Amino acid sequence: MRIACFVEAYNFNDKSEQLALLEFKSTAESMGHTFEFIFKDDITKVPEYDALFIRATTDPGNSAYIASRLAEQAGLPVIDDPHSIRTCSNKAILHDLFQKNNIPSPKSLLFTGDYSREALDDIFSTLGFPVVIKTPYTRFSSHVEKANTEQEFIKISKQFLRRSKILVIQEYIQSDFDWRVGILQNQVLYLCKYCIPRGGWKVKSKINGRNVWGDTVAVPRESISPELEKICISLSKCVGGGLYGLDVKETDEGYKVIEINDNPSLYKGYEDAVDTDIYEKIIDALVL
Amino acid sequence: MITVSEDEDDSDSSPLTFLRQPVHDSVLNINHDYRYLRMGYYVSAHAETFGMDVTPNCTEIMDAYRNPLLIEKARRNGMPTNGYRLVTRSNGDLDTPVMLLAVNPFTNNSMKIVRSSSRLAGMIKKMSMDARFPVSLHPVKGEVLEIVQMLGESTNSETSEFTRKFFEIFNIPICKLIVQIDDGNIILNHCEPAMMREVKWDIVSDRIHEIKQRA
Repeated sequence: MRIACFVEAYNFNDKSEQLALLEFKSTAESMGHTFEFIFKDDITKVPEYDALFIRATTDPGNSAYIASRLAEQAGLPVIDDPHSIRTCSNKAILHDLFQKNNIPSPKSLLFTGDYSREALDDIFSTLGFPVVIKTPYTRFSSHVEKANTEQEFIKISKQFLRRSKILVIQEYIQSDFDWRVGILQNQVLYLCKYCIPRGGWKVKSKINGRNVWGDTVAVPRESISPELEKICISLSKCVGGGLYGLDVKETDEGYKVIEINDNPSLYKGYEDAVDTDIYEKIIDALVL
Repeated sequence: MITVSEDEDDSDSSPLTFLRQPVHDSVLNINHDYRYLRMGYYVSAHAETFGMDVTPNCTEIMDAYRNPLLIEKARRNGMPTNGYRLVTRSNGDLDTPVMLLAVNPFTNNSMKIVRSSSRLAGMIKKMSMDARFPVSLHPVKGEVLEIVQMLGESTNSETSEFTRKFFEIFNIPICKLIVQIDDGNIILNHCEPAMMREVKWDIVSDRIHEIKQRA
Protein backbone atom coordinates (compact mmCIF):
# COMPACT_ATOMS: atom_id res chain seq x y z
CA MET A 1 0.00 0.00 0.00
CA ARG A 2 1.06 3.61 -0.58
CA ILE A 3 1.19 5.46 2.70
CA ALA A 4 1.52 9.25 2.71
CA CYS A 5 3.04 10.88 5.77
CA PHE A 6 2.03 14.54 6.03
CA VAL A 7 4.87 16.55 7.56
CA GLU A 8 6.16 20.11 7.67
CA ALA A 9 9.80 21.19 7.46
CA TYR A 10 9.97 21.70 11.25
CA ASN A 11 9.34 17.98 11.82
CA PHE A 12 12.94 17.41 10.69
CA ASN A 13 14.56 20.02 12.93
CA ASP A 14 14.94 17.78 15.98
CA LYS A 15 17.25 14.83 15.43
CA SER A 16 15.15 12.43 17.53
CA GLU A 17 11.96 13.33 15.67
CA GLN A 18 13.73 13.02 12.33
CA LEU A 19 15.03 9.57 13.30
CA ALA A 20 11.54 8.49 14.36
CA LEU A 21 10.14 9.59 10.98
CA LEU A 22 12.85 7.62 9.18
CA GLU A 23 12.07 4.63 11.40
CA PHE A 24 8.43 4.82 10.29
CA LYS A 25 9.57 4.86 6.67
CA SER A 26 11.95 1.91 6.99
CA THR A 27 9.41 -0.09 9.03
CA ALA A 28 6.66 0.48 6.45
CA GLU A 29 9.01 -0.47 3.62
CA SER A 30 10.14 -3.62 5.43
CA MET A 31 6.45 -4.54 5.68
CA GLY A 32 6.08 -4.19 1.89
CA HIS A 33 4.53 -0.72 1.72
CA THR A 34 5.70 2.56 0.25
CA PHE A 35 5.96 5.49 2.65
CA GLU A 36 6.28 8.99 1.19
CA PHE A 37 6.66 12.26 3.03
CA ILE A 38 4.29 14.88 1.64
CA PHE A 39 4.19 18.60 2.43
CA LYS A 40 1.53 21.30 2.29
CA ASP A 41 2.06 21.95 -1.42
CA ASP A 42 1.03 18.30 -2.00
CA ILE A 43 -2.22 18.37 -0.01
CA THR A 44 -4.47 17.94 -3.03
CA LYS A 45 -2.59 14.71 -3.88
CA VAL A 46 -3.74 13.02 -0.64
CA PRO A 47 -6.60 11.08 -2.31
CA GLU A 48 -4.03 9.41 -4.62
CA TYR A 49 -2.63 7.41 -1.67
CA ASP A 50 -4.06 4.43 0.24
CA ALA A 51 -3.58 5.79 3.76
CA LEU A 52 -2.50 8.99 5.47
CA PHE A 53 -0.38 9.37 8.61
CA ILE A 54 -0.06 12.91 9.95
CA ARG A 55 3.02 14.00 11.87
CA ALA A 56 2.76 17.77 11.28
CA THR A 57 1.16 19.61 14.17
CA THR A 58 -2.58 19.19 13.98
CA ASP A 59 -5.14 21.89 14.63
CA PRO A 60 -8.42 22.69 12.86
CA GLY A 61 -6.74 25.90 11.67
CA ASN A 62 -3.67 24.17 10.25
CA SER A 63 -2.97 22.59 6.88
CA ALA A 64 -2.88 19.18 8.58
CA TYR A 65 -6.65 19.36 9.15
CA ILE A 66 -7.24 19.87 5.44
CA ALA A 67 -5.04 16.87 4.61
CA SER A 68 -6.89 14.77 7.18
CA ARG A 69 -10.36 15.72 5.97
CA LEU A 70 -9.45 15.22 2.30
CA ALA A 71 -8.25 11.73 3.22
CA GLU A 72 -11.44 11.00 5.13
CA GLN A 73 -13.61 12.28 2.28
CA ALA A 74 -11.71 10.00 -0.11
CA GLY A 75 -12.29 7.00 2.18
CA LEU A 76 -8.65 6.58 3.26
CA PRO A 77 -7.63 5.31 6.69
CA VAL A 78 -6.16 8.36 8.41
CA ILE A 79 -4.28 9.01 11.64
CA ASP A 80 -5.15 11.63 12.93
CA ASP A 81 -8.75 11.74 11.74
CA PRO A 82 -10.62 15.08 11.58
CA HIS A 83 -12.91 14.34 14.52
CA SER A 84 -9.96 13.46 16.77
CA ILE A 85 -8.15 16.64 15.69
CA ARG A 86 -11.17 18.83 16.41
CA THR A 87 -11.81 17.22 19.78
CA CYS A 88 -8.30 16.92 21.17
CA SER A 89 -7.01 20.26 19.88
CA ASN A 90 -9.48 22.20 21.98
CA LYS A 91 -9.32 22.11 25.77
CA ALA A 92 -12.77 23.70 26.12
CA ILE A 93 -14.27 20.83 24.13
CA LEU A 94 -12.28 18.34 26.23
CA HIS A 95 -13.72 19.99 29.34
CA ASP A 96 -17.23 19.16 28.04
CA LEU A 97 -16.18 15.67 27.02
CA PHE A 98 -14.74 14.87 30.45
CA GLN A 99 -17.88 16.14 32.19
CA LYS A 100 -20.27 14.31 29.91
CA ASN A 101 -18.41 11.01 30.33
CA ASN A 102 -17.47 11.34 34.02
CA ILE A 103 -13.75 11.12 33.32
CA PRO A 104 -11.74 11.55 36.55
CA SER A 105 -9.94 14.85 36.06
CA PRO A 106 -8.93 17.99 37.98
CA LYS A 107 -11.87 20.23 38.85
CA SER A 108 -12.25 22.73 36.05
CA LEU A 109 -14.47 25.56 34.81
CA LEU A 110 -14.95 27.45 31.59
CA PHE A 111 -14.29 31.18 31.88
CA THR A 112 -15.44 33.82 29.41
CA GLY A 113 -14.38 37.00 31.22
CA ASP A 114 -16.93 37.58 33.97
CA TYR A 115 -14.86 39.41 36.63
CA SER A 116 -17.79 40.13 38.96
CA ARG A 117 -17.10 39.46 42.65
CA GLU A 118 -19.63 36.63 42.62
CA ALA A 119 -18.01 34.93 39.61
CA LEU A 120 -14.48 35.21 41.01
CA ASP A 121 -15.59 33.88 44.40
CA ASP A 122 -17.26 30.97 42.66
CA ILE A 123 -14.04 30.11 40.77
CA PHE A 124 -11.76 30.20 43.80
CA SER A 125 -14.16 28.49 46.20
CA THR A 126 -14.47 25.65 43.67
CA LEU A 127 -10.85 25.36 42.59
CA GLY A 128 -8.85 26.92 45.45
CA PHE A 129 -5.40 28.42 44.85
CA PRO A 130 -3.30 28.19 42.79
CA VAL A 131 -5.29 27.70 39.58
CA VAL A 132 -4.08 26.71 36.14
CA ILE A 133 -5.27 28.91 33.25
CA LYS A 134 -5.31 27.39 29.76
CA THR A 135 -6.26 28.69 26.37
CA PRO A 136 -8.27 26.12 24.37
CA TYR A 137 -5.44 25.80 21.86
CA THR A 138 -2.61 25.10 24.30
CA ARG A 139 0.00 22.55 23.21
CA PHE A 140 3.47 21.55 24.38
CA SER A 141 2.80 23.40 27.68
CA SER A 142 2.49 26.77 25.92
CA HIS A 143 -0.40 29.14 26.71
CA VAL A 144 -0.76 27.51 30.11
CA GLU A 145 0.00 29.57 33.22
CA LYS A 146 -0.41 29.15 36.95
CA ALA A 147 -1.98 31.93 39.03
CA ASN A 148 -1.22 31.98 42.74
CA THR A 149 -3.45 34.94 43.58
CA GLU A 150 -6.62 36.59 42.34
CA GLN A 151 -4.54 39.48 40.96
CA GLU A 152 -2.38 37.09 38.97
CA PHE A 153 -5.50 35.32 37.72
CA ILE A 154 -7.02 38.57 36.45
CA LYS A 155 -3.80 39.67 34.74
CA ILE A 156 -3.12 36.34 33.00
CA SER A 157 -6.73 35.65 32.03
CA LYS A 158 -7.20 39.12 30.54
CA GLN A 159 -4.09 38.60 28.46
CA PHE A 160 -5.29 35.18 27.23
CA LEU A 161 -8.83 36.45 26.52
CA ARG A 162 -7.42 38.84 23.92
CA ARG A 163 -6.96 35.83 21.64
CA SER A 164 -9.61 33.43 22.89
CA LYS A 165 -13.32 33.74 23.72
CA ILE A 166 -13.10 30.96 26.28
CA LEU A 167 -10.49 29.80 28.82
CA VAL A 168 -10.31 26.66 30.90
CA ILE A 169 -9.54 27.24 34.58
CA GLN A 170 -8.32 24.17 36.40
CA GLU A 171 -7.46 23.06 39.90
CA TYR A 172 -3.66 22.80 40.27
CA ILE A 173 -2.30 19.36 41.13
CA GLN A 174 1.35 19.20 42.10
CA SER A 175 3.32 16.20 40.84
CA ASP A 176 6.84 15.17 39.90
CA PHE A 177 5.70 13.63 36.61
CA ASP A 178 2.69 13.05 34.34
CA TRP A 179 1.94 9.60 33.05
CA ARG A 180 1.94 9.70 29.25
CA VAL A 181 -0.16 6.80 28.02
CA GLY A 182 0.05 6.17 24.27
CA ILE A 183 -3.14 4.59 22.95
CA LEU A 184 -3.70 3.10 19.51
CA GLN A 185 -7.07 1.68 18.43
CA ASN A 186 -8.15 1.72 22.06
CA GLN A 187 -5.23 -0.37 23.31
CA VAL A 188 -2.17 0.74 25.24
CA LEU A 189 0.73 1.29 22.82
CA TYR A 190 3.38 2.70 25.13
CA LEU A 191 3.79 4.12 28.59
CA CYS A 192 6.12 6.89 29.78
CA LYS A 193 6.72 9.24 32.62
CA TYR A 194 7.02 12.83 31.44
CA CYS A 195 8.95 14.36 34.32
CA ILE A 196 8.55 17.92 35.56
CA PRO A 197 11.94 19.66 35.49
CA ARG A 198 13.37 20.73 38.85
CA GLY A 199 12.18 24.24 39.66
CA GLY A 200 9.26 24.05 37.21
CA TRP A 201 5.62 22.99 37.44
CA LYS A 202 4.88 21.65 33.94
CA VAL A 203 6.72 19.35 31.54
CA LYS A 204 8.12 22.31 29.61
CA SER A 205 8.82 25.02 32.17
CA LYS A 206 10.47 28.40 31.99
CA ILE A 207 13.31 28.28 34.49
CA ASN A 208 15.62 31.27 34.89
CA GLY A 209 14.24 32.64 31.62
CA ARG A 210 14.99 29.46 29.69
CA ASN A 211 12.57 26.77 28.42
CA VAL A 212 13.52 23.46 30.03
CA TRP A 213 11.95 20.09 29.16
CA GLY A 214 11.70 17.39 31.79
CA ASP A 215 13.07 13.89 31.20
CA THR A 216 11.07 11.17 29.46
CA VAL A 217 11.26 7.78 31.16
CA ALA A 218 9.77 4.92 29.16
CA VAL A 219 8.12 2.11 31.15
CA PRO A 220 6.97 -1.30 29.77
CA ARG A 221 3.34 -1.02 28.72
CA GLU A 222 2.52 -4.30 30.45
CA SER A 223 3.29 -2.62 33.76
CA ILE A 224 0.41 -0.15 33.47
CA SER A 225 -1.94 -0.36 36.45
CA PRO A 226 -5.35 -1.83 35.58
CA GLU A 227 -7.07 1.32 36.90
CA LEU A 228 -4.99 3.66 34.74
CA GLU A 229 -5.51 1.46 31.70
CA LYS A 230 -9.26 1.34 32.25
CA ILE A 231 -9.54 5.12 32.54
CA CYS A 232 -7.40 5.75 29.46
CA ILE A 233 -9.21 3.24 27.25
CA SER A 234 -12.59 4.50 28.34
CA LEU A 235 -11.58 8.07 27.45
CA SER A 236 -9.98 7.19 24.13
CA LYS A 237 -13.18 5.38 23.13
CA CYS A 238 -15.07 8.64 23.70
CA VAL A 239 -12.90 10.29 21.05
CA GLY A 240 -12.36 7.56 18.46
CA GLY A 241 -10.10 4.72 17.41
CA GLY A 242 -6.95 6.61 16.50
CA LEU A 243 -3.55 7.34 18.04
CA TYR A 244 -3.63 9.36 21.25
CA GLY A 245 -1.35 10.47 24.07
CA LEU A 246 -3.07 10.88 27.42
CA ASP A 247 -1.54 12.92 30.23
CA VAL A 248 -2.55 11.67 33.65
CA LYS A 249 -1.61 12.71 37.19
CA GLU A 250 -1.35 10.09 39.92
CA THR A 251 -2.78 11.51 43.16
CA ASP A 252 -3.78 10.25 46.61
CA GLU A 253 -7.37 10.35 45.34
CA GLY A 254 -6.59 8.24 42.28
CA TYR A 255 -5.70 9.05 38.70
CA LYS A 256 -6.77 12.38 37.17
CA VAL A 257 -6.66 12.87 33.43
CA ILE A 258 -5.26 16.23 32.38
CA GLU A 259 -5.84 15.84 28.66
CA ILE A 260 -6.01 13.56 25.67
CA ASN A 261 -3.90 14.57 22.68
CA ASP A 262 -4.13 13.47 19.09
CA ASN A 263 -0.83 13.52 17.17
CA PRO A 264 1.25 12.59 20.24
CA SER A 265 5.01 13.18 20.22
CA LEU A 266 7.04 10.21 19.01
CA TYR A 267 10.78 10.73 19.31
CA LYS A 268 13.41 8.06 18.69
CA GLY A 269 14.93 6.95 21.98
CA TYR A 270 12.10 8.42 24.08
CA GLU A 271 8.56 7.05 23.75
CA ASP A 272 9.90 3.97 21.92
CA ALA A 273 12.77 3.25 24.32
CA VAL A 274 11.14 0.17 25.90
CA ASP A 275 8.31 -0.92 23.62
CA THR A 276 10.14 -0.77 20.32
CA ASP A 277 7.30 -2.20 18.22
CA ILE A 278 5.24 1.00 18.18
CA TYR A 279 6.24 1.80 14.58
CA GLU A 280 5.05 -1.56 13.28
CA LYS A 281 1.78 -1.32 15.21
CA ILE A 282 1.01 2.15 13.85
CA ILE A 283 1.74 1.08 10.27
CA ASP A 284 -0.48 -1.96 10.80
CA ALA A 285 -3.28 0.30 12.03
CA LEU A 286 -3.01 2.32 8.82
CA VAL A 287 -3.08 -0.57 6.39
CA LEU A 288 -5.32 -3.22 7.96
CA MET B 1 -35.32 21.73 18.74
CA ILE B 2 -33.90 24.78 20.49
CA THR B 3 -32.52 27.85 18.78
CA VAL B 4 -29.30 29.35 20.08
CA SER B 5 -28.72 32.87 18.85
CA GLU B 6 -27.47 36.24 19.99
CA ASP B 7 -30.65 37.72 18.51
CA GLU B 8 -32.95 37.60 21.56
CA ASP B 9 -36.18 37.69 19.50
CA ASP B 10 -35.56 34.31 17.93
CA SER B 11 -33.51 32.66 20.60
CA ASP B 12 -34.28 30.01 23.21
CA SER B 13 -30.80 30.55 24.67
CA SER B 14 -27.87 32.91 24.22
CA PRO B 15 -24.56 31.24 23.26
CA LEU B 16 -23.00 31.98 26.66
CA THR B 17 -25.93 30.55 28.65
CA PHE B 18 -26.05 27.54 26.33
CA LEU B 19 -22.38 26.70 26.89
CA ARG B 20 -22.86 26.53 30.67
CA GLN B 21 -25.52 23.81 30.51
CA PRO B 22 -25.82 20.18 29.44
CA VAL B 23 -27.68 19.71 26.13
CA HIS B 24 -30.79 17.53 25.88
CA ASP B 25 -32.35 18.62 22.58
CA SER B 26 -31.38 19.15 18.96
CA VAL B 27 -29.99 22.60 18.26
CA LEU B 28 -30.34 25.22 15.55
CA ASN B 29 -27.27 27.40 15.96
CA ILE B 30 -27.84 30.83 14.40
CA ASN B 31 -24.72 32.95 14.11
CA HIS B 32 -23.14 35.14 11.46
CA ASP B 33 -19.68 33.75 12.27
CA TYR B 34 -18.89 30.05 12.84
CA ARG B 35 -15.12 30.34 12.61
CA TYR B 36 -13.04 27.96 14.73
CA LEU B 37 -12.48 29.34 18.28
CA ARG B 38 -15.46 31.74 17.89
CA MET B 39 -18.70 31.48 19.84
CA GLY B 40 -20.62 30.16 16.83
CA TYR B 41 -18.24 27.21 16.62
CA TYR B 42 -18.31 26.49 20.35
CA VAL B 43 -22.11 26.27 20.38
CA SER B 44 -22.01 23.54 17.74
CA ALA B 45 -19.10 21.76 19.44
CA HIS B 46 -20.91 21.83 22.79
CA ALA B 47 -24.08 20.31 21.30
CA GLU B 48 -22.06 17.66 19.47
CA THR B 49 -20.11 16.66 22.58
CA PHE B 50 -23.43 16.02 24.31
CA GLY B 51 -24.46 13.78 21.43
CA MET B 52 -27.18 16.08 20.08
CA ASP B 53 -27.96 16.88 16.44
CA VAL B 54 -26.91 20.41 15.64
CA THR B 55 -27.20 22.65 12.58
CA PRO B 56 -24.47 23.21 11.54
CA ASN B 57 -22.23 20.50 13.00
CA CYS B 58 -18.47 21.03 13.32
CA THR B 59 -17.60 18.96 10.26
CA GLU B 60 -19.97 21.09 8.19
CA ILE B 61 -18.47 24.30 9.57
CA MET B 62 -14.93 23.27 8.75
CA ASP B 63 -15.94 21.95 5.31
CA ALA B 64 -17.45 25.32 4.45
CA TYR B 65 -14.80 27.62 5.90
CA ARG B 66 -11.61 25.86 4.74
CA ASN B 67 -11.43 26.68 1.04
CA PRO B 68 -10.05 23.38 -0.37
CA LEU B 69 -12.63 21.41 1.63
CA LEU B 70 -15.42 23.69 0.39
CA ILE B 71 -14.46 23.18 -3.22
CA GLU B 72 -14.03 19.40 -2.91
CA LYS B 73 -17.42 19.05 -1.21
CA ALA B 74 -19.07 21.28 -3.82
CA ARG B 75 -17.56 19.16 -6.60
CA ARG B 76 -18.71 15.92 -5.02
CA ASN B 77 -22.24 17.30 -4.78
CA GLY B 78 -22.43 18.63 -8.32
CA MET B 79 -22.10 22.34 -7.61
CA PRO B 80 -20.17 24.18 -10.32
CA THR B 81 -16.58 25.14 -9.42
CA ASN B 82 -13.84 26.22 -11.77
CA GLY B 83 -10.81 24.42 -10.39
CA TYR B 84 -8.29 25.65 -7.86
CA ARG B 85 -4.63 25.23 -6.97
CA LEU B 86 -2.94 25.34 -3.60
CA VAL B 87 0.45 27.03 -3.57
CA THR B 88 2.82 28.44 -1.00
CA ARG B 89 4.98 30.30 -3.51
CA SER B 90 4.78 31.43 -7.11
CA ASN B 91 6.74 29.19 -9.45
CA GLY B 92 6.11 31.20 -12.62
CA ASP B 93 3.46 28.97 -14.19
CA LEU B 94 0.42 30.73 -12.76
CA ASP B 95 -2.06 32.55 -14.97
CA THR B 96 -3.76 35.86 -14.29
CA PRO B 97 -6.31 37.21 -13.60
CA VAL B 98 -6.60 35.02 -10.54
CA MET B 99 -8.51 35.06 -7.26
CA LEU B 100 -6.40 34.43 -4.14
CA LEU B 101 -7.82 33.14 -0.86
CA ALA B 102 -5.73 32.64 2.27
CA VAL B 103 -5.89 29.15 3.82
CA ASN B 104 -4.61 29.98 7.28
CA PRO B 105 -6.19 30.16 10.74
CA PHE B 106 -5.91 33.92 11.09
CA THR B 107 -7.35 35.62 8.02
CA ASN B 108 -10.94 36.53 7.24
CA ASN B 109 -12.26 38.52 4.25
CA SER B 110 -9.03 37.61 2.51
CA MET B 111 -10.13 37.47 -1.13
CA LYS B 112 -7.84 39.35 -3.51
CA ILE B 113 -7.97 39.47 -7.29
CA VAL B 114 -4.61 39.87 -9.00
CA ARG B 115 -4.72 40.89 -12.65
CA SER B 116 -1.03 41.54 -13.25
CA SER B 117 1.41 38.60 -13.18
CA SER B 118 4.15 40.91 -11.88
CA ARG B 119 2.17 41.37 -8.62
CA LEU B 120 1.35 37.71 -8.12
CA ALA B 121 4.52 36.48 -6.41
CA GLY B 122 4.43 39.29 -3.85
CA MET B 123 0.77 38.74 -3.05
CA ILE B 124 1.25 34.98 -2.63
CA LYS B 125 4.22 35.62 -0.32
CA LYS B 126 2.13 37.98 1.78
CA MET B 127 -1.01 35.83 1.92
CA SER B 128 0.93 32.63 2.61
CA MET B 129 2.65 34.42 5.50
CA ASP B 130 5.97 33.74 3.81
CA ALA B 131 5.11 30.19 2.71
CA ARG B 132 3.85 29.08 6.13
CA PHE B 133 0.31 28.40 4.87
CA PRO B 134 -1.13 27.58 1.45
CA VAL B 135 -3.00 30.06 -0.70
CA SER B 136 -5.92 28.86 -2.80
CA LEU B 137 -5.87 30.17 -6.38
CA HIS B 138 -9.02 30.26 -8.53
CA PRO B 139 -9.10 31.45 -12.14
CA VAL B 140 -11.19 34.56 -12.74
CA LYS B 141 -13.44 34.03 -15.73
CA GLY B 142 -16.59 35.94 -14.94
CA GLU B 143 -18.15 38.66 -12.84
CA VAL B 144 -17.24 38.27 -9.16
CA LEU B 145 -20.13 38.66 -6.71
CA GLU B 146 -20.50 38.50 -2.94
CA ILE B 147 -23.86 37.21 -1.74
CA VAL B 148 -25.19 36.57 1.73
CA GLN B 149 -26.90 33.23 2.23
CA MET B 150 -29.47 32.97 5.04
CA LEU B 151 -30.95 29.50 5.62
CA GLY B 152 -31.13 29.02 1.85
CA GLU B 153 -32.38 32.53 1.05
CA SER B 154 -30.24 35.08 -0.74
CA THR B 155 -29.76 38.82 -0.63
CA ASN B 156 -29.72 38.65 -4.42
CA SER B 157 -32.85 37.29 -6.18
CA GLU B 158 -30.83 36.03 -9.18
CA THR B 159 -28.87 33.68 -6.93
CA SER B 160 -31.71 32.33 -4.78
CA GLU B 161 -31.74 28.90 -6.45
CA PHE B 162 -27.98 28.68 -5.93
CA THR B 163 -28.15 29.62 -2.22
CA ARG B 164 -30.97 27.11 -1.68
CA LYS B 165 -28.73 24.37 -3.09
CA PHE B 166 -25.76 25.61 -1.08
CA PHE B 167 -27.74 25.37 2.16
CA GLU B 168 -28.99 21.89 1.27
CA ILE B 169 -25.42 20.66 0.77
CA PHE B 170 -23.45 22.65 3.35
CA ASN B 171 -26.07 23.26 6.09
CA ILE B 172 -24.54 26.59 7.15
CA PRO B 173 -27.38 28.88 8.32
CA ILE B 174 -25.68 32.21 7.58
CA CYS B 175 -22.60 32.97 5.50
CA LYS B 176 -21.17 35.12 2.77
CA LEU B 177 -20.44 33.41 -0.55
CA ILE B 178 -18.00 34.58 -3.16
CA VAL B 179 -19.12 33.41 -6.59
CA GLN B 180 -18.51 34.13 -10.24
CA ILE B 181 -21.18 34.48 -12.89
CA ASP B 182 -19.68 32.96 -16.00
CA ASP B 183 -21.85 32.61 -19.11
CA GLY B 184 -24.98 32.49 -16.96
CA ASN B 185 -23.58 29.84 -14.61
CA ILE B 186 -22.94 30.56 -10.93
CA ILE B 187 -19.59 29.18 -9.83
CA LEU B 188 -18.69 28.80 -6.16
CA ASN B 189 -15.30 30.15 -5.05
CA HIS B 190 -15.45 30.78 -1.34
CA CYS B 191 -17.49 30.84 1.86
CA GLU B 192 -16.76 33.08 4.85
CA PRO B 193 -18.55 34.69 7.80
CA ALA B 194 -21.06 37.41 6.98
CA MET B 195 -20.89 40.64 8.90
CA MET B 196 -23.80 41.35 11.27
CA ARG B 197 -24.90 44.35 9.21
CA GLU B 198 -24.91 42.36 5.96
CA VAL B 199 -27.48 39.86 7.24
CA LYS B 200 -31.19 40.50 6.70
CA TRP B 201 -32.37 39.38 10.11
CA ASP B 202 -36.07 39.57 9.20
CA ILE B 203 -35.45 36.89 6.55
CA VAL B 204 -33.53 34.80 9.09
CA SER B 205 -36.40 35.13 11.55
CA ASP B 206 -39.01 34.01 9.00
CA ARG B 207 -36.92 30.99 8.01
CA ILE B 208 -36.36 29.98 11.64
CA HIS B 209 -40.12 29.95 12.21
CA GLU B 210 -40.65 27.82 9.10
CA ILE B 211 -37.94 25.36 10.15
CA LYS B 212 -39.21 25.07 13.72
CA GLN B 213 -42.77 24.47 12.53
CA ARG B 214 -41.54 21.61 10.34
CA ALA B 215 -39.40 20.09 13.11
